[in-house]
Amino acid sequence: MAHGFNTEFRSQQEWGWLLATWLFLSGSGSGLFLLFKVFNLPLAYALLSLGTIVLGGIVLLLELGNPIRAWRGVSRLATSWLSRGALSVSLFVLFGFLSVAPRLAAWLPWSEGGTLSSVLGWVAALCALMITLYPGFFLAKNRSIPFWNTALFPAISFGFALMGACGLALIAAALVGGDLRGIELLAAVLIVADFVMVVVHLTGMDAAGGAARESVRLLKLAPMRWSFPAGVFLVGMILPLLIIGWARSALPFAGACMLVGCFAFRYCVLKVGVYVPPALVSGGIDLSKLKRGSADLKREYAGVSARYAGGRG
Amino acid sequence: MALDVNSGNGRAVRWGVAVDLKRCIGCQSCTMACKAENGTPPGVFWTRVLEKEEGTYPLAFKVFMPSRCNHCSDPACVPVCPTGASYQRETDNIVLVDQNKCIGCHSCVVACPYQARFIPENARGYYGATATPFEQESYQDWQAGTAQKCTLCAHRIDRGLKPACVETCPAGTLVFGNLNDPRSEISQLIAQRSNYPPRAEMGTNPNVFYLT
Repeated sequence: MAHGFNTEFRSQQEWGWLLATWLFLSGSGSGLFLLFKVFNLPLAYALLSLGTIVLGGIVLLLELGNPIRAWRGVSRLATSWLSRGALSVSLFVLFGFLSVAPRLAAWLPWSEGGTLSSVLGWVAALCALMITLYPGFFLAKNRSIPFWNTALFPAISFGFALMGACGLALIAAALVGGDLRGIELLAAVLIVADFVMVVVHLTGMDAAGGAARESVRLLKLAPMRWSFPAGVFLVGMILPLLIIGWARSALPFAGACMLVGCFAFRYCVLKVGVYVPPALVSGGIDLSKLKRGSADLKREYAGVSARYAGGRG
Repeated sequence: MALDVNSGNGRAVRWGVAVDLKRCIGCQSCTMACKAENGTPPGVFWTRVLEKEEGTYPLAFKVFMPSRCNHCSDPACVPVCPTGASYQRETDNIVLVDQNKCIGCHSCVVACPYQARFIPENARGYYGATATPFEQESYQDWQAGTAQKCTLCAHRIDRGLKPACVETCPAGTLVFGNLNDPRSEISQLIAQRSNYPPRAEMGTNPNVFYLT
């Protein structure tokens, strides 16, 4: 029988590395803009943030079945997290660019340190905050996939967005400089917080059973068997934490490791989104509902069994 | 005009399907009738009969469960749509997709608890690059890269006919009717027989009921 006609657990097949790349780039890029504003980092960080989001946007267009109509994606702000995200990205790119534009083109009517530039910058920062937040809610809204459908999931997603931003900042610091002492501490705190949240989430999902437990089981099997524990925990968390603590000369490498971990997290979490099996009552199809209990079945098939037992099958 | 996120419970007509699990023989006639009526692309089945093996040898057997879009009164697929392409008809509860608005973001496909939405990557037919005359005609109704789903044969309902799957079922497993009409056959069956709506705990208020 064709695939999909059996009532087994199925993970979603719609979203893969393209959406994972978008979630990774958008989260890291927008988070970097927040760091740029909060820590007053050099202009290059804002430009890197904007470039990352634009690159991510191009990847997102590739994900769409009809990218030419992408402009329609902001039509349902009242109900759709994707709509809210699309609007936030558009406004972020606009206001973010306008806020840093005076540093690139002095002839513009507003100045770098002026009120208008500052307002534009903080509006862009608000949009960036929204971009870091929306993917978690966007996935958590899916009641059909219990692994995503938890209150903790948006917090984890937000944590990984900021972790990716710290990774980008640590790499950028090697190229353009900047005082990153606060960001190093933030990175360490985020790694620990994300680690705790992921462990709590996995433990809760495993205990929940059903499709949620199946998601956790898939994380332990190929092809996730290495990409999740090694990619997310070892490369993305433990190694950077050790470097930040004891080998600060290799901070850019720690940043690269954090980015690897963030991408692996986005990809793995998407791929193990297992649906609650359709149309099944809990515990499988209940034979009592068909009014054919196991005793009835045994009586019905008793003759068949006897024939097989007697070698007359 | 679409009411998109308003509950279908308040509509004058609430179309539903009752599926008698005692009668289904797993013949997939509904699957093929749907395909013939709607000309869906290869690998896409708007309605299908799920099967599950139960028991162990020699007491092994199969149980069948016809599955399709439940045209929920509170569909999970409609509010997640960022463009408004997914909508619920104003006059009844039928959930449809405006092919000209859909951007193919897959949100509705993932959101549907019944896995009843599909996005074909291309418009290739069953027999290679050259579409058959049937495919050339029927493929006009949908676009590659956009979401498609069971329409409950809205084009037939609007002409006073039953959906193709219901019409063709040889075992009388599928019963179609207005759930808001207490005298309809479907309402009486649901009132008389034990039944359950699939995954009702998801809060979608499905309008397909499985009679047990």
